[in-house]
Amino acid sequence: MASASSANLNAVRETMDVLLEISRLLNTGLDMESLSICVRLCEQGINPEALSSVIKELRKASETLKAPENCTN
Amino acid sequence: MATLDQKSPNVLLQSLCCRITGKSEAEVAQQFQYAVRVIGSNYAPTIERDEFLVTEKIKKELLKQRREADAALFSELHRKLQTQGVLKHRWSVLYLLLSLSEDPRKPSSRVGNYGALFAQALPRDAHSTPFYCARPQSLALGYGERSSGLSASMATSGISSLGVYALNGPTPTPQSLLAGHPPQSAAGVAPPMGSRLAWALPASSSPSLALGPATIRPPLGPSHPNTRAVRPRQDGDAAGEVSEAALVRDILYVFQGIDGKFIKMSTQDNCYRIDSKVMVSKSLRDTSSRLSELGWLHNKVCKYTDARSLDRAFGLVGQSFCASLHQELKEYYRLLSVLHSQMQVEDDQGVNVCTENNLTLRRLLVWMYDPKVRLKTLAALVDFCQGRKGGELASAVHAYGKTGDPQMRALVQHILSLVSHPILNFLYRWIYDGELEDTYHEFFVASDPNVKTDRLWHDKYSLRKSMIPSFITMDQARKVLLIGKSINFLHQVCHDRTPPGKITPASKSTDTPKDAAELLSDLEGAFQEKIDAAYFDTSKYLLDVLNRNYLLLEHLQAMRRYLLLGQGDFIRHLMDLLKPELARPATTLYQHNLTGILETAVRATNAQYDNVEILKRLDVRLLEVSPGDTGWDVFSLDYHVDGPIATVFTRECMGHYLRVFNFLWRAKRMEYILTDIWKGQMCNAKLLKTMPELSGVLHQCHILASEMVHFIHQMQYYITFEVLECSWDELWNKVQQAQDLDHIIAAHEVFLDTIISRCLLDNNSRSLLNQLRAIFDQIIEFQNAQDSLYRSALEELALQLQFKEKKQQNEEEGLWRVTAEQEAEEKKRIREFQETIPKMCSQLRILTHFYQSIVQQFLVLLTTSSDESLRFLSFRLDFNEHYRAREPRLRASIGATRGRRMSNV
Repeated sequence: MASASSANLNAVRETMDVLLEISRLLNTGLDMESLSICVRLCEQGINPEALSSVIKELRKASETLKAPENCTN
Repeated sequence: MATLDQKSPNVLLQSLCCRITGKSEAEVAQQFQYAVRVIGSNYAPTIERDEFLVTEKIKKELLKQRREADAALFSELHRKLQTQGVLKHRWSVLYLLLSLSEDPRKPSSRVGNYGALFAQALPRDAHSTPFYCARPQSLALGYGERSSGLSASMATSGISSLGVYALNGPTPTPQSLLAGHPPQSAAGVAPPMGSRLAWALPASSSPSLALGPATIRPPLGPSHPNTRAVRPRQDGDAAGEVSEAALVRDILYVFQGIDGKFIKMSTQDNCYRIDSKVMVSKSLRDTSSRLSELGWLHNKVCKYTDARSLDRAFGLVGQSFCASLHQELKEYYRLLSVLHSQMQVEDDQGVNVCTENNLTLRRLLVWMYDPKVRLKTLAALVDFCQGRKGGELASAVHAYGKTGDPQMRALVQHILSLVSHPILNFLYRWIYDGELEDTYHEFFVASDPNVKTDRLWHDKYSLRKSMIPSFITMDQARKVLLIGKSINFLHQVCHDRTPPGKITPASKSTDTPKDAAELLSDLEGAFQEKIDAAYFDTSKYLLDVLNRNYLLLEHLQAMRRYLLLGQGDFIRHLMDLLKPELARPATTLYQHNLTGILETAVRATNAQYDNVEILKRLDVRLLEVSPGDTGWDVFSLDYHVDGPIATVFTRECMGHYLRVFNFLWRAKRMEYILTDIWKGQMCNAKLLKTMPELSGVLHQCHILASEMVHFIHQMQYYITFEVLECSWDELWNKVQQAQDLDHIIAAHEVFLDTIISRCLLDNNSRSLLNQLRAIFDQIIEFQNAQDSLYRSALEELALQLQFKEKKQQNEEEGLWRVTAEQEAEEKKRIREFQETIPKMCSQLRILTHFYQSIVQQFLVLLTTSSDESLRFLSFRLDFNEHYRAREPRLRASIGATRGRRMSNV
C-alpha cells in the first residue's frame, strides 16, 4: 500500500490523495483500499476497460446477494 | 511503487473482490475466477492510450453535469498528478475512474445501472475476439460520449438503446409489476432478471460463478416465459425436465459415438435414444433422436475402419479405403471440435448474451445436415463394401459415384481417387515394367506361379473378372493384361533384355492420389490413350523381336511349304525317294534311314535354298505302328518348334498340322499312284496290242483309272485352292495386320481350324472322311489289280514271244518248227491264260462297282453337307451328271437342295 515504500512514501501518498480526490469528484464509489488496488492493477498494464467492467459486475453481484435478503426482510 | 508491483494481479484481484463484495476469500472464489477470466481474456486494452483525450472526456463529463468548479478542481488535481510522476499509466487509472464515474445527481440509478452497464460491457469487453477489438476505438473515442450515452439511456429506458438487452435495464415494466415495492428495491430486483439471463448459461456450465438457484430465482421468475436456458445442467435428473443445453452437450458426445448422460445407445433397437425415464419434451426428444443418427452412422464407419485397419490381408486398396474414411472422419471430428469450442466459449462467457450464436438442437440440426449426408454416404459405402476387396471394392465405390448429387459425387470421387490409387499403381508397374506386385490379390491380373515358361503366354496370366474395377472396361483390362504379358514374355521367353523404359516411352506414373483423380476424371481420354500407347508400343516391339530374332513369319511359311505340302518339287522328290522304303511293312522302317532320305530330298530340290534355321527343324516322324501297316501309313514329316515360336505353334497346333499332313500325304500318294497307273497303261498299251483278247479288260481299266484320276484331281484342286490357299491368304493378311501376338495366335488357330474342318478331319465329317478313305483304298486295290493284270499279261506276252522265237530258231536250224507236243503245251497255256481274263474282268467289274458306289455315297454326303465349299465340290465331281444319272438318291437330294435354294430365293 501507500506505506510500503519508504523512499517514495510521500510522493505515493500524495498521488493517492490526488487520485482519491478525482475519484470522489467523479463519484466512482471506490474507497481508498479499492482504489489503491485498482491503481496497482492499472500500473501492471491491465486493461482499465476490463477492470471497470469487473468492478461493476462485482458490485452488481453483491447487490443481488443482498437484494433477496432485502426482499425477504 | 516497486513494492507495489511485487504482488501479482491475481492476488490484487482477489483482494479487490473481497473488498467490493465484503466477503471472505472463500466466498468470493467464483467471482474471483470470473474476474480473472475477464481480465485475462482482455489483457490488451482496446482503447487508445491517450491521457489527454481521457482527461478531456472527464472534463466534458463534469461540465455536462454543470459542475464547472469540479472541472476546474479536476484540472488542478490532474496537473498535480502529472508533476508527481509516480504513476506510469496515468491514463489507465483515469480511464478506470471515468468509466466508474456516476452522476451524483441520480443516486438511485446507481445500483440499477450496473446491470445495464454490465450487459453492454460484456459483449464489448468480455469478448476476446478481434471483432470487439476494432469497435471501441470508434465507439469510445469516435463520438467520445460513451459514458454520457450510457447515462442517457439509463435515464430514459433501456429498451430503445439497448435493444435485445432491454430486460437487463431498469425498464418501467418490472417497476410497474413491482408496484408495491419501493423504488430502490424495484431497481434492485431488476438486475436479477438481467443477471438471470446473463448468468444462467455460465452458471450451468461453470459453477464457479453460480449464484445458486435459490438466490437466482427472483419472485417474478416463474412467471417469466423465457425458460429455455434457465435450467442448469445439474437439474437434469430424473425428477425435472432436461434442458436443451444439456441435450446439446450430450448430442456432441453422441456425435462421436460416446454415450451421453441422457442419450444412450440402446442395444436392442440399435440406435441412440433418450432414456425413456428422463422427462423431456417431445420435440426435443425427436430432434435429438434425429441428430443422434449421426452418432450411429459414425459408429458404423468407425467399426469398419477399426476392424480393417489392422487386417493386413485386406490389402492396399482396402487400406486406402480405410484411410480415406479416416480422412472423412477427421473432417467430421474437426467440425465437432469447433462445436465443442463454441460450447466452451458459451460456457466461458457465462452469459447467454447473444442468443443468435447459441448452440441449440435446432441449429445443430441445420448445421449437421451436410455432415449427416456425408456420413450417410460413407455408411452406405461401408455397408456396400463389406466383404469386398481390391478392384471389387473400387467398383463398389465407383458405383456410388453415379449420383446426381454433386456433393455426394465429389465425396465419392475423392474416396475413389484414393481407393483407385493403389490399383493404378499396380497397373502402371504392370504395363511399364511387367511386374506384378500384388501381394493380396487385389489387381485384376492374376499370375499362376506353377506355369512354366513354355506356357507363359497362354496360361500364366489371367484376368480376375471380379477384380476389374467398373471404371475400366473389359477391353482396357484385356489390353492391360496383354501389355504386361508381352513384357514378361519378352523377358522370360524371348530373353530380351531391353529395359522396359525403351519399349514404351515411359510416361510418368501416378505418384499421388491427385494424379489418380485426374486420370479417373478422364478415363476415356488420357487413360485410354496411355493404355493404347503402351499396348501399341509393347506389342509392336514384341512382334518385331519375334519376326527379327525368331523368324516367326518364316516359320509360318515353312509350315505351309513342308507340312502342308506347299513345296511341290520337294514333296514329289521325297515321295520318289521314299517309295521303295515305304512300301515295306512299317515295322522294318528305321528313322535314321528316312532322315537320310529326307536330307537327300532337301539337297536335291529348291528346299536347299531355305533358311538353315528352318531346315534343321525339319524331321521325319513315324507314327505308332499297328499290325499290317505299311510305311505309307506311319510316315510323316515333323517340324521342331521351341522357345518363343512354340507359343504360336503349340503342341495342339502341331498335332493338327500332323493330322493335316497325313491327310494331304495320303491324297498326294493317291495322285502319285494314279500317275503310276497311267504310266503303266501308256507303256503297256502298245505291247499288249498283240493280245486282242485283253482289250476288253484294258478298256475297263482305262475307264476306271480315268474316273479315279478325275476324282483325285478334283479332290486335289479342292484341297489346294479351296482349302489351303484361301485360308493361307486369310491368315497371311491377318498376320500382316496383327497388332499383337494374340492376334497372330488367334489367326493361326482359325487357319488350322478351317483347314481341319475343310479337309474333313473334324468330327462332323467323319463319315465323309471314311468314304474318302474307302475310295483311296479302292484306288490302291485297283493299282494292285492292274499291276497283277499287267504282270500276268506281260508274262504271257513274254512266253508267247519266246515261243515264236523258238519256232523261228528251229526253222533257221532246219528243224521242225514245233513238235506236236510243244504245240499242245503252248495251246494249253494260252487257253489257261485266256481263261483268267474273264476272272480279271469280273474282278475289275466288282472293283468298279464298289468304287462307284462309294463315290456315290460320298457325293450324297457331300450334297447334304452344310459347308458350301463341299457342296461345290460335289458339283465339281459330278459335273457331267454321270453319277446323278445312276444314283436316284443323288438325284433326289440334289433336286431337293436346288428346290430348297429356289424357295429360299
